[in-house]
Amino acid sequence: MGKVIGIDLGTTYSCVSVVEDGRPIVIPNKGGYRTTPSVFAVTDDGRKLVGHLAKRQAITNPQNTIYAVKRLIGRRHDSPEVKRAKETCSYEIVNGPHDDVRIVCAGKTYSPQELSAFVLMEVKRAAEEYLEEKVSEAVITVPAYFNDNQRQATKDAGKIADLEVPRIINEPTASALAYGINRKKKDEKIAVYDLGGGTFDISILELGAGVFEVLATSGDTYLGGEDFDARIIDYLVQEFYREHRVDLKTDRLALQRLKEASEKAKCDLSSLKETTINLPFISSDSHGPKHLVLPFPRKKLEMLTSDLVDRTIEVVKQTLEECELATADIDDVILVGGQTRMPLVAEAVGNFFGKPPSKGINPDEAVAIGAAIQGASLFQDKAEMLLLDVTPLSLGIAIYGGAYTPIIERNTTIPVRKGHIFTTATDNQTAIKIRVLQGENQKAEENTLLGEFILHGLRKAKAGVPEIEVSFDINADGIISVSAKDMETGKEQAITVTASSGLTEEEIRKMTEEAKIMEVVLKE
Amino acid sequence: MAQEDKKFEANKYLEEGLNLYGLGMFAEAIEKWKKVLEIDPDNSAARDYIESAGGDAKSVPHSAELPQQEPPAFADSDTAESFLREARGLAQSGKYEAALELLEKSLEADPDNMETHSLYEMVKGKQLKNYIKEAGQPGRIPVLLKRPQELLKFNLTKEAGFIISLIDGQVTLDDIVSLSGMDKFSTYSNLVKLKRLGVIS
Repeated sequence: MGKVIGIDLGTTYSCVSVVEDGRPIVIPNKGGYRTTPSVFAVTDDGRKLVGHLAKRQAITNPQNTIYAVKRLIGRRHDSPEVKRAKETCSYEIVNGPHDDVRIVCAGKTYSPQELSAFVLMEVKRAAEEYLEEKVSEAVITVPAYFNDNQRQATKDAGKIADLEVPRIINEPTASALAYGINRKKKDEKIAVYDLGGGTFDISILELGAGVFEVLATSGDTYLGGEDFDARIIDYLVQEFYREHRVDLKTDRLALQRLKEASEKAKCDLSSLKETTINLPFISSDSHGPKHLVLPFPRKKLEMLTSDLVDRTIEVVKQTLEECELATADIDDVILVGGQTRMPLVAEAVGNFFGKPPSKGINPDEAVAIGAAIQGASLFQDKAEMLLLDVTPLSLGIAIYGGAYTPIIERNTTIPVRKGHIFTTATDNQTAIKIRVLQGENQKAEENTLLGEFILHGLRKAKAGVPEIEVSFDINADGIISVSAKDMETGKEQAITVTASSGLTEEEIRKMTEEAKIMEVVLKE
Repeated sequence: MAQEDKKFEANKYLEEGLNLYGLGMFAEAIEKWKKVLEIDPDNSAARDYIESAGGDAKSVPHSAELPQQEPPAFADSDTAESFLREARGLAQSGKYEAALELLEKSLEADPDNMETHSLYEMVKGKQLKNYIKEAGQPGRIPVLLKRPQELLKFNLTKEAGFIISLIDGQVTLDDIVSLSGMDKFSTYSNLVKLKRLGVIS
């Protein structure tokens, strides 16, 4: 049996790690980079690109460069998140055959699972080259707020990339594993502050009895390092205009260079107090070339972006309030995501919690390392398994008046069986409709509908008299069965709910075949 | 630019140069002061600063030494026709680059001439083959031969500047064609131009 790799399939970057001789290592890609942009593109000459090359032409080829697919995976086409993506993305998002999402790239339609698979294939290949053996299994991480459909879609992406995914784990949990928090003797509450390239997540975890319980998770799926880059770009554009009266925003070649230079300057300023942005020949006209040469101190970067940092701290504050915790209740704070390298971010988080955040693991590698540790543990004895499977979100039913009653609370270890007695809402009601939902919102409509069925043949009676037992049963594979039983007549109806990524088995099989053909032309 | 605006611009560059000089960025400071001389070739302060920062102000001519600008060439259908005729001859003798230059001038004067358009496309196709041959194998990785400060001496376009920015010691010629955001002809013509100038290998 080969090694199980750990993959952090990120919104902007992905990372792969494996445990070798008991130690997790991050595997660099062919270009020597330890992270790979989660970007796919088709160029004008029909060439398919994944990773750094795809990213380097994102601005000059906007319609056919696909990024941030993670915001779309496993979502319905009519969801608010997809609507927002349609407003902000440079590529075309269309309705899929199952009301899911499809993306048009160079005249071909792709599912988010396929596009994610291209990135997975790229990191898988890097792992195979490094390990000099075939890799067929991977633990993949997802945000703690991902529902079953999004998790299943991520698993399907793995399948298309010819990877078995024995376990999907939460990103904050993976980070905590990377820091070895599970090895500590006492139970702990940890805050995982994750500011990546495209998203911000804050999760409060509690470790106890082999389970990382997600006490709260929140964030902003449209706030990340790219917003910091955008601020730098705006500043550079303004400065250049002031000096040369030339608007670089209208020039795609210039913008692509500004984007790369901004990202580099930002990274430089994580360790330096000042850098210089040097872009010779950024513009040219009949008078000759124009260069952008500008000293860029860290103070300037902080001035341009401090409000973004403040926004994240505000979310952290609200999240703690929601789970009724004070900063003093938090034992450990972990920084995850490349943007947390910015000294201002670490300082703001440290000041808020009143303690310095844990250091020692590269923040953009922690999630992949945790996934690799979990992957390696799957070989160990059951008793030594690192994590138990838990339900990521609560499961329940819709009740009269549009409210939602959870029956199995989130973070419940599986397998599990739980039931609850319900009754009729009106006199002489002979049927009830059971709508199975997943989520945490008190309003039924705000949660994800997993399935529905009707229990007929109830005896006519006054409202509130009949007793109907609704039971949820989740087996070890995560398959949910829901039944409703009239306690008086014994009549029963049931459904089995399996998470759906939006793709049929046949579609996944076809995409897997197509992805295999793709593999020979992909190149870092 | 109005006289007042010129004075304002020149003073702005003068000041920016002094700031950079104060930060120890002498080369950048000299560039700023050279910009002052572009606007006001007789600005003695800028000349003094350039000299004191180790630059060469003498190479920048005073206003009296500047050549008088030639009036723009008059273009009409006759000149378009003569450019086309000459270009045809050059193309026949395999001098495609020179032919393209004349065809562009011909199209400027007579943009709707279909014959010029078709000859232009044909010559472009032939020249592209030459460029590809001159640039080298598509899998070859070009290398930047000049340091950033040396680059500034060249009179390059923003397109050439963009291609230079793509060269990182890993991307191949083929990659550059995919990443450039320009058509294949423009990408190769810029690559070959940079190669001929000794900017890239």
